[in-house]
This record gives sequence, C-alpha cells and structure tokens, in this order.
Amino acid sequence: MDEVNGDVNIDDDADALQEATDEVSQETGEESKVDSDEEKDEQTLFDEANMRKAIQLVVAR
Amino acid sequence: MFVNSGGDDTPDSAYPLPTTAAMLVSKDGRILGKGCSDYSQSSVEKAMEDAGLEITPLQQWCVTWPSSDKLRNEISKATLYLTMEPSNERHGMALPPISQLIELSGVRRVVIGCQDPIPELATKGASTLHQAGIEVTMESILAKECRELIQNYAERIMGRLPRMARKHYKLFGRPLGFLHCSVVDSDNLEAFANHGNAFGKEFDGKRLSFRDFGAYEIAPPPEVIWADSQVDIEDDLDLDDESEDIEDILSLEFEDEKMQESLNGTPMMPWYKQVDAVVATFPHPGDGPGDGEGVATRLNGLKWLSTYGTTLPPGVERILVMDATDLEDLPMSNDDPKLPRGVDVEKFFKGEGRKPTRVLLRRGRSAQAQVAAKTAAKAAEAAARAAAAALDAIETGEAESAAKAALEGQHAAIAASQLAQKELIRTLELKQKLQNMGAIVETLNGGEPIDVMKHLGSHHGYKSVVWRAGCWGSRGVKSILEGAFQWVSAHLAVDANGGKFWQLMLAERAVQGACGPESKVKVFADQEDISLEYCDEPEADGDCTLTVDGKPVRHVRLDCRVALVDSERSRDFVLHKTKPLDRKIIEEEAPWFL
Repeated sequence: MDEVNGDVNIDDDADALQEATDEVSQETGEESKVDSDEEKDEQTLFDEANMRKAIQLVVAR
Repeated sequence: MFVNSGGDDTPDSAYPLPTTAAMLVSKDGRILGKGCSDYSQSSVEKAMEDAGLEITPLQQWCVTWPSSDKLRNEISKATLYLTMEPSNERHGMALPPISQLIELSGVRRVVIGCQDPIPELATKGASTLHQAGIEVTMESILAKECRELIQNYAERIMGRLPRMARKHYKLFGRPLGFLHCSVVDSDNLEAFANHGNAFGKEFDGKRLSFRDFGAYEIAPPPEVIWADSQVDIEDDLDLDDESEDIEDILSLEFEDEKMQESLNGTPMMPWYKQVDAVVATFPHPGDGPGDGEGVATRLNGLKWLSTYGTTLPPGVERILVMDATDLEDLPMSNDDPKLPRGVDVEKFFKGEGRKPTRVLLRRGRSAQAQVAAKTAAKAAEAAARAAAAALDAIETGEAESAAKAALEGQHAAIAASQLAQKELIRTLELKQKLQNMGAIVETLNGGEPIDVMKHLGSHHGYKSVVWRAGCWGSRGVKSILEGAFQWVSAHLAVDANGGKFWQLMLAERAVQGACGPESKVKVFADQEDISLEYCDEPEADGDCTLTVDGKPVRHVRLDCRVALVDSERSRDFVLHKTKPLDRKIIEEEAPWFL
C-alpha cells in the first residue's frame, strides 16, 4: 500500500524465513544458529538506539 | 564525545550525586516513561512516574498502578534502560533501595550502561536485580559513553574524604562529621598576637609548652557574618547581583588536594560542596557565642544558612538544629523585627529550587516549661500536705481544713497542667507553620550533636555532614569525645615567624588543646592540611575578626583529623632485626649522601 508497509513485508519475509528454517532444523535436528545470531544483533541495535536516547536525556539536560 | 555532566555543580543537576537517566521502552519501541535524576529524585522514580505509576517511598517502596491492566502488562514486557547501575543501598529509613523499586515495578529486562563507580557498590545493584529473576545486561551497551557521563563523579567519590566517609558510615552508621570553627586564645589575645606562640618563646609571662594550649577554646569562624550581627551582609556582598564577589572571597586559596581543587574548593567552606548536609544551630539562650542571650547573636546560624547557604549546590541540604521550645523565638516571616537585615527567611524555609530546608527539634528547655515544672512540684507539695491534713482530720475531725488543703493542691496541679498544655499547643502550631512554609520538621531523640549525627545517619543515610559551629567550649569537647566529629577545620592566630613547619606544630597543638586530652583524643595534621592567611596584608581576607588595636591578626587555617583513643585496642609491636652495614660499604658510600 505504501512505503511504511515495506517494513511489514520485511517482517513477513522474516517470519517466512523463520518458518522455513524451523522446518529445516526439525528435519536435520540442528539449532538455527544463523537465525539466533541475527536476532541478537537486532536486539543489540534496539538496545543501543534506546540507550543513546537515555544518554541524550542527560546531555540535553 | 558526550558532555561530562555527571558531576557538575549546576542548578538542575543531582550534584553531589551523579546525573543519570532512565528510560522505560515497550517491546515495540515506544517510550513509556523517561527521567533524568536531579537533587530531589532518582531517574528511575521519574521514569516510573512518567509511565503512570504512583510511587511512594515508605519502609519499602509503595508502587500503585492505574486501574487498567494495560500498563502493567506493557511494563512486564518492557525494557528499562539505565545509564548507570542502580544502587541496592538503603538511604537510612527514609529512602529504600532503587533496585527494590525496579523489582516492584514488574520490569522483566534491564539494560545498564555502566556499573556503579563506587567499588563497594559496583555490580551489587545488578546482582540484586538478577537474583530477583530480572534479565540484566550491563557494561555491554554504550558503556564507554555512559562512563563519560559520570566521569567527574567517579573521580570525586574516590577522593580521600568521600572514601573515609563511606568507611565511617559503614562502621558506625552515622556520617563523618566536619566541625568548622575557629580556635582563639581565650585568655589574652593581645599577648597572643604580640608575642606569637613559637615553641620556647615567652608567652604571657611564662615559658610556653604544649600544655598551655589547654586554655584554648574554639570560637566562631572569622567571617563578617560572625563579626557583628548588626552588620548588613548586603553592604559587603551583594548576594543577588554580584555573585562574582562571593566567588572571589571564597576562592582566595585552598589546600593542594587534587580532589578538592577539582571542586573549586573554598577556604571558608572547605568541604561544604561535597557533603550531604550543612548544619547550623539556633542555640538556646546562654549556649551561643558571646553573651549568647540576645536573639540577634543566636540567629547567626540561621543567617549563614539563608545567605551564604544559598551558594551551596541545591543537593546539599541545609539543616537548622534548635530546641522545640525555642520555636517561639524563631523568625518565620521577613516582617519579623528580630530578623537580621538582608535575610530572606521565608525563602529559606520554602527551600525553592533546592533540597527542602530541614529543621531538627531537640527537647526543649524553655522558661515556660521550667515554670510548669516548678508549678507541678508545688502542686505535689500541696497534695502531700493535703494528704497529711486529711489523715489528721480523720483523727481530729477537722474536715474543713483537710478539704481546703486538698483544694489548694488541686488548683496548683491544674495550673501546671494548663501551662504545659498551652506550651505544647503553641509548639505544635509553630511546627505546623514551618511545615506549611515548605520546611521538613523532625524531632530528635536527645539533644547533643552526636544525637543529630545518629539521626542523620539512621534516618537519611547521610555519609558526610559539616557542622558550622557557633562557639565551641566544653560542649564541643564532649561532642568530639562522643564521636560526633572526625575532622576539624579551625582558624588560629599563630606567629608567622618560623615557617610553615612550626606553624603547623603550633596549630596542631592548639587544636589538640581545644579538642580534649591526648589520652582520649588525638589530632593529626599534615603539611598540606595547613594554609596561611595573612590578614594584615592588603589583599587578605577582609572577614577576619581577630584584631588587636584595630589591626587584624595573622592566622592559619588547619583542617585536621581527630580520632578517639581506643584504650581497649591492643597494640601490636613488630620487631625487625636489622643487619649492620658492612663498614667497607659505609666508607665507600659516604660521599654520596654528603
């Protein structure tokens, strides 16, 4: 519909990738290592962005 | 590079605590609440309140959520971002640990920028949260930037005095006490000034020895505010418009201690900017400096707190200690004729823009209470007579005289009771008036400085307090021996001849004489603890009041440690066997030290 929904599409793609990976993992009996690393990076980026905002609270005081 | 604002002495900072930030972020990235610490509140409290929680510090934190479950659910999935590790330390009875507030808020995940720079507290707060089942991450997200925010604070709290204060609080549960006052010769100031006090000199017709310093007593600091209670401070210092003048006077010199230099330390207020509170008293008549009877003289402490005290950082609390029954004499409005000129007492009690003013009430010794006690004693005597008369009446049948005596006793008892009740009601009214103005009023158990220190330690967790003394005679010695003070900052008039070493010795002996017998208390001073103040020089401190023939007396300021002698403590003597040097080596090495 619009560009914002592009994010949704990416999420949908990620979900699809997750499902596919899970299926492969179930078949092979292995953990999805690639995916967990990716998740960690996202979390770190999320944390850094928020911590930066918190720091700005002190700096802009 | 981030601005280092964690230790700045700015009006809206948390100084002397670090300025930190907290931010509560929902799982989808929305900021639910945020806050920056200041002198009145922690960043976590502010962030939680911003999110919609109601928070009250009681014995434990009392946390109330809005009636809707939505916020509770969101918080339970949210992450709390903190630039610095929260403390798991309770601040006396008044403030529970911040780590407990985080636990009670229901947050499941906490990301901490950097750990607490105080070694004793580092990782303790994070560990407490982890043990409570909260997912904690520390020192992995922008840690360097977060450390830069509190760099000033981190350097300051590792200084000598803050370290001593923390250790003292841990050992005794009360703050490290700093006594700021002066030492003068109470016997003969003129001889003292003319002859000096170097060892071996004649002094007032006798050979001087350290024992002669027992005649000293500690008296008010040499500042204009103590010199003459009628002097208008605004004539000398325009507090509103020319704050630079104050800075000039306060920054004449300071001892060469890195930590204190970094605080722009001041000679008249040596530690004031880094302590939790500064205390002054409204003494009971007879307990103050000079004759002590006039209200104007007794108001010197209030005058200092409400004028010079405004230059303290907003996080350094101003405390007035007084007898509850002297509330009647305390000026509470600027219209009060007793109030010294230039003092805005309403602003002082209101405490706007800084920590609220605290008034600590000791048990009272007012004239009315004494009258009530005497009347009660008379009533008791009359009652005893009535009882004896009644006994006689039973035997003699003179019931009328027995009844008369009983009535007399009853009237005296009622009068005493009414007087005491009247005084109690009046005291409560005045106490309420102070509270309505914005002051925090608390009642003390006991009336001595050691009781004040215990109260500030146990109730508020204060670790360092400056006590600005009026006069300091036998009551001061008693307080030092009871452990109320560990440091004394004193001004002494000593001979400028002989150099710093001799002046240090003289000053140390004089303070020793003023603080108590060496068998019970020891005074320690180093070269860096003494600073010279040549008041007879044109550019010297104009506040000096030690004058002879109208001329100021040279004096020094000594910041020294005082420690109580523990007679129970065993002394360990370690003997080391030393090996005599080979004669040949001595001969060969001799020219080296020559």
